[in-house]
Amino acid sequence: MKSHVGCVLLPMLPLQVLLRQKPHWQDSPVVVLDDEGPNGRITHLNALARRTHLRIGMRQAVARDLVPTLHAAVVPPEKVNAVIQELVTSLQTFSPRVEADAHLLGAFTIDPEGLRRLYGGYRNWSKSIYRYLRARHWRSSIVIGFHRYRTLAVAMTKSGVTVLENAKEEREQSDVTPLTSFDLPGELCESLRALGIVTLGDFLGLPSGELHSRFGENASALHDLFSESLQLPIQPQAFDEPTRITFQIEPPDSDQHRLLFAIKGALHSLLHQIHARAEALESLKITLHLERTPSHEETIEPAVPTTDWTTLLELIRLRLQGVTLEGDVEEVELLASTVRTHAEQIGLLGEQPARDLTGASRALARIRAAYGERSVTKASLREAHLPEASFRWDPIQQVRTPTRPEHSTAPMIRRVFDRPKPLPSRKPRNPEAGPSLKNDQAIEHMYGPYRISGGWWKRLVERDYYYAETEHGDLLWLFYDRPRKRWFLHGVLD
Amino acid sequence: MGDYVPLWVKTNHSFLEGASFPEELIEQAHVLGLRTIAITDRDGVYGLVRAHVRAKELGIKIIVGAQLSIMVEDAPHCVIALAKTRHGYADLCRLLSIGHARCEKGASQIEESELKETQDLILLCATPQSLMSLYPEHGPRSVFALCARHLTENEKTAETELRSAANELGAQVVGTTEVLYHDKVRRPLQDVLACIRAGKELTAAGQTIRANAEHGLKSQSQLEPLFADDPECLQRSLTIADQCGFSLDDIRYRYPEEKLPQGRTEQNWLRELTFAGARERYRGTVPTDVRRQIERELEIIYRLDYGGYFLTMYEIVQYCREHDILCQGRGSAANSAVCFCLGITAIDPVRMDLLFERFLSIERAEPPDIDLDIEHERREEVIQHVYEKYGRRYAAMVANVIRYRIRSAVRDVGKALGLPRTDLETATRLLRHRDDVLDPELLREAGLEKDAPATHHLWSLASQILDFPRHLSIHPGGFLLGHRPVDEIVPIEPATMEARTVIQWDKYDVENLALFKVDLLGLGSLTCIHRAFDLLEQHKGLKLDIATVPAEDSATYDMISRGDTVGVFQIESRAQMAMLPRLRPNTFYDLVIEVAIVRPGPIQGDMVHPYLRRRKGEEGVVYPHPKLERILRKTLGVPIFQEQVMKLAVEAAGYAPGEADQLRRDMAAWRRSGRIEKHRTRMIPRMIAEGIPEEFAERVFSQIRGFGEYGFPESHAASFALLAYVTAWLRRHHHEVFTCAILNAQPMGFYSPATLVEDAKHHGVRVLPIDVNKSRWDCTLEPMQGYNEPPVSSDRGSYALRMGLRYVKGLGAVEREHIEAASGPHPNLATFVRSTRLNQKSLQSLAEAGAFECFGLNRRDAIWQVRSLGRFMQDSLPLRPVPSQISFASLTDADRVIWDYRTSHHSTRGHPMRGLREALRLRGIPEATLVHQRNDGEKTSYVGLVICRQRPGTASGVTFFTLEDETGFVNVVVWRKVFDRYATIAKTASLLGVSGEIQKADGVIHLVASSLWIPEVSIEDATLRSRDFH
Repeated sequence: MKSHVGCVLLPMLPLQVLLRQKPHWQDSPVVVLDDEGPNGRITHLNALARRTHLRIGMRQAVARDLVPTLHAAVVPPEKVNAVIQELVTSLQTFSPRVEADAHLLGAFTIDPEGLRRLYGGYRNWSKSIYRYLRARHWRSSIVIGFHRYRTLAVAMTKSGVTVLENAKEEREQSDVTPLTSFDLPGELCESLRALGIVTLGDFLGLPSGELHSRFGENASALHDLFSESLQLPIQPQAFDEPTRITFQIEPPDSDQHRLLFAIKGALHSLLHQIHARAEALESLKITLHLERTPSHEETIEPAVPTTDWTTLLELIRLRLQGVTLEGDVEEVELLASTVRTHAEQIGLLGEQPARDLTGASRALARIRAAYGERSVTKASLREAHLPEASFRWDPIQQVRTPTRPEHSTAPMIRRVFDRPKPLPSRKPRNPEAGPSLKNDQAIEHMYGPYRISGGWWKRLVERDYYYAETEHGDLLWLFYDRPRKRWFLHGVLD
Repeated sequence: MGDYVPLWVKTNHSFLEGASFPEELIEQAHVLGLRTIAITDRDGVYGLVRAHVRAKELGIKIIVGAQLSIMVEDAPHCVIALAKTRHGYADLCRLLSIGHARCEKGASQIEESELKETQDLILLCATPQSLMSLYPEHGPRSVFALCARHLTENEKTAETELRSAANELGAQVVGTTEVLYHDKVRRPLQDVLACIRAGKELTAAGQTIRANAEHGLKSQSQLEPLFADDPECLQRSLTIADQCGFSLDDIRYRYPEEKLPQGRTEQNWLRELTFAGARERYRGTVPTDVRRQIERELEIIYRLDYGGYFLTMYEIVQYCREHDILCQGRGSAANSAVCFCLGITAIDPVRMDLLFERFLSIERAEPPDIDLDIEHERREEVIQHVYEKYGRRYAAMVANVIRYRIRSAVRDVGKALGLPRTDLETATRLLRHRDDVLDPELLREAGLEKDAPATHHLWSLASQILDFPRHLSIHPGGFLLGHRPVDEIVPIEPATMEARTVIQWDKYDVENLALFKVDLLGLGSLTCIHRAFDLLEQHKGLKLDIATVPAEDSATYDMISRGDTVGVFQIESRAQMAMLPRLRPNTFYDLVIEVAIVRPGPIQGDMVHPYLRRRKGEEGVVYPHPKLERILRKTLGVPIFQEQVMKLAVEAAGYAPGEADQLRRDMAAWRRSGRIEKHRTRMIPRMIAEGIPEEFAERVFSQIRGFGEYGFPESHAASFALLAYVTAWLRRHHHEVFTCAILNAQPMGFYSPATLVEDAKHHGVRVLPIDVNKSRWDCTLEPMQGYNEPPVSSDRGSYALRMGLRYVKGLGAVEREHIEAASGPHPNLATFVRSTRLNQKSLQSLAEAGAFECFGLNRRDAIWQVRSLGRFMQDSLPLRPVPSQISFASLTDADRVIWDYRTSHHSTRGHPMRGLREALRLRGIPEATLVHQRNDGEKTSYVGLVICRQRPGTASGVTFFTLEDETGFVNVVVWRKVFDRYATIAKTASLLGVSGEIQKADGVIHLVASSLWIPEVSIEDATLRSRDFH
């Protein structure tokens, strides 16, 4: 008796992904494109679009000529891959052996043996999967048969659940599948069609050797896939169990020292697991489940991936000491994100850099642990006219040796305020007359203006900037906001 | 003159940088009281002529210049060059030509050393490097430091460095601003243009866009505070302006003098050639009236000094003759007896009573305009000859400025605003190409939020950008030729097309400066006629040319009057075919009217029906005013030709010659400018005052508007009518020759090859299929002996038409070379494959087209075999491959026809509809011949292949379909409401069912559709490709 194999097919998966994002498009012609531009081609389309004479491969410009109100979008491959990953995980609850087809998006081979008995037979097992997917708004076709590619071929022409009784039935039903369903290269598909080869059965009737000499490796490989004698085994995707430890605090407690002590033991065990997998901890998510109040989460990132218990415990301590909990902790969950470790040769003695950059990185990790993830940043310059848009604070993980600019001149340091400080006008009725400074400090000279205006597409900005020299010799950087008719101090110069 | 002159001004012809039209800048200067303004487009003089024309009208002086990119120490530096004199301007144009020649399209870079030879240019240097490089060579009167202030933070430092360099050198500083728009309201548009140019979105534009809105044209009072610290530098702009005396009016253009034979002057050589031609034309004796006309024309040509132009045209025509290239002049040149005698045109203007003044007149003193049609496959030879003969500096093609239309405007502006591209695509599809106003409602329909600021910006900016120049393209055939190098008049750039160069002005600019232009245009029909004459001589020993085709042949007119004109030049369209049985041409002049009447002008002016009624005698010939009789007599009191409308304006509305000339220009440009409307208020009241009925005046005005770009002057219609007659004569008397020629001249004309083949078969021509052992690349004629089947019509019996390999889809020039190099016939497929060494794809195409049936192989077996044989074609030993284990079923007859269409766009074996006939008959659906027998008002249904969909602009949204079956055509009229209701079917179906009512008048039948449907019977989707919406 041949063993059974299952195929779960979610036809036009990218289109299904799109329609889940935009359910209000369901009743209109919808297509998925490979590019947003007018020359982007249709890769998937719904029945309504097909009814309006749109076809796969048609350019967007042509399609819109036919259906001006067409709904069209690009579904990024990463998005589809993420969905496939989710689906594999979901299907793994029905069978531990699930493989996503590498060539046909939305096709999964699944081993029905084992868990099938829990459901009382193949049909019930298949229906459970079907219902599960339908409840999550996935359209699918599920076929239980004997040959993994023939079941896929049957799934292409069916919807719902199909359980094939024997290999003969499987052969008969798969033979009628149109070759166009297999996403074959266009030239191959056209050539076969010219020969009158339009179904899988026609195709498999061709002598394999002659097929190879005329249509090349791909065609004969496809032919071989359906060979009765050669059936590739399922290559199931491994379970990706996260490294996680959960433990109770009894009685619930909010004392940070005691919490740290409790975490210490669990962390030891967690790191032991990570070490056993030849991995290192990249980040640690600590979830504190509180009594009657929402959970509290913290994430710790060491300077480099590590399994060093003391370093991590020190970082957790620094983080927790700044946290005020709104209730007692009744459960703690530690979830580690890990990376593979690579063995490195110990650095030979010899030339050592004057600065210990790894030490600096460790110090920054401690600061981040104590003050939050965005507490260590550096300014990156951006090309913009507006001063506050001309730089950005980017978080940094690693310290790099600073480089000295080529032409080093004594720079004038402009200290820019995070938010410009409003200044009163010297003459309230005539704001353009100039600003007034605190303590009646007089402005002796104003240099400027230089004008920045723009952002009309969002919010109009129009500023006249000045350098102002006060009677005490202070140099101020201020601007007159034209739309708001107000003065602001934006910075000072050293 | 005011107290300063803007010296750095870029119009929107600085592509995707300047944000105002040249005219807007000039008008704003006028409003601001500026009496002089420089125009300095980036790397060119693109917007100069438009600015010049407007400036002349407003009395403003223009300083001619350009913004150059000068390479100093391998880095580009911005320098403004202003022409002091004509000589300086010539240098500027030459420099720009050199700069463009070495760069990618749209850019120019000039080496510092190339400036050394220039004179009479003022150079304004914006950087210390360019100043230090140019000042020592050109001195203090020609080089200035350019201090441009726009209130930006960094310009102060840059200015300090520039002034320091100027002090060191002793150079003077001049102050100005860089003007990019006439008013600061255009600042957002300038930002968007900058983003489009850089391919960025506004939100990520950074310093791609300017820091502020200080790039508008400013008045003296607005600019003074900016230069309060150095008012002298501002005033120095006046000193510079004083030095620049050059104006575009100073261009004295002379057409190239031909190389004259020893001892001849230009005038007497032209005279000699003209009379020699006249003697040839009139078989030895030149009639007195012709002689008188020639003398008169030569006198005018001499007084206007245009002899060189005529000699050049003569030389080009001679070149064509010597190289066996068919050509014919068209347009107003056909009014000239000199052109006729020189062989430039083929219409005898004296016999046709055409007016020479329409072509040339002392009063207008405009350069003549001769368009020369050349057989389309050989036009490039003539173009390259012109380049060779005159040299690249003396000849260049006229530009065509590509401007923003509504769809490109929405697409580009929307991208810059960061709107979703799929929404923009929806919006652009909802818009029609011809729309000239952007409806905000359409943007909402496209899915854009109605009240969102981005939608508002899109609407506002896309409306502003309409008609803005986007880039330079090339005119289809316009040449500017010069006695002096053309690059002293206007810079020349390399065009994208290989071996072509293009000037920086378009045809309107050339016309505005009264420069001569030679138009060399490609015409497919001339290719067809030439090929037909060659075939006649080769197979039937009949030597003909356009002039010797038997004239006024009644059999030809009978055929034309039946509307049986598939493939006949100019009168083959659905509209022309519908008109022919009504007009029933039986003389050449009728044909001239036929060509001119089915045009937007007469149709919009509602002149067609009055003419037909008068021609049939159903209505008397009356003239709206006695003095119009002279103008309208030839056309029964109805204006049909463009010049009649012009004369009406002069006679009936009292237009002065200058006004009439302006009307002609406005007619040509109305779609661009909308200037024609101002004539309505001027013309109609004047006509009414002259006693002309208001209704007639309104119709004349509608006609003027319709004439716009599409009106035909009588001489032009006559030139086209001659070609129409020749092709009709060929079709009537030598249909197999005509079809062979037109198939070999494709692509051209109105119909697909399939329709031409079907038409030939209907007329008794035997058409033989593609066969690798019998077909050449082109279609050929084969003697009929040896074919058992008798011909359908006895007079077509001598030759059969063999379809050529050029019709096999996928074969091109490379495959042609391979096939022609292999000597045939080939005994079997393996030999063919080995000797031609065609690639797999080509072999498969031939197999699918049935071209290997001569080897006893059905198409599928042939496909299977060629796929295997392809691998052996490189073998030196002719080993036979192992025979296949399988064979495939032959195609059915119906499938063979479908395969023919799929692989060669036609079938000699039958019509795809024949296979469906029985099924259609059972459903009571008649074929085309039966539809034509139905009565007016009768309801019927019909099924046919769509061969053409057409929606003329004059038809108020009506779409005309031409459907075809194995017995002929049915013309279907689809009203807009019906079209909209069945839009998808109407746009996509290749096999279409129509139900509706027969409309029959004067032997012309239309089926007026009430519903469209997809027939339940089906032909495979690979059927005819229709020609849609042209």
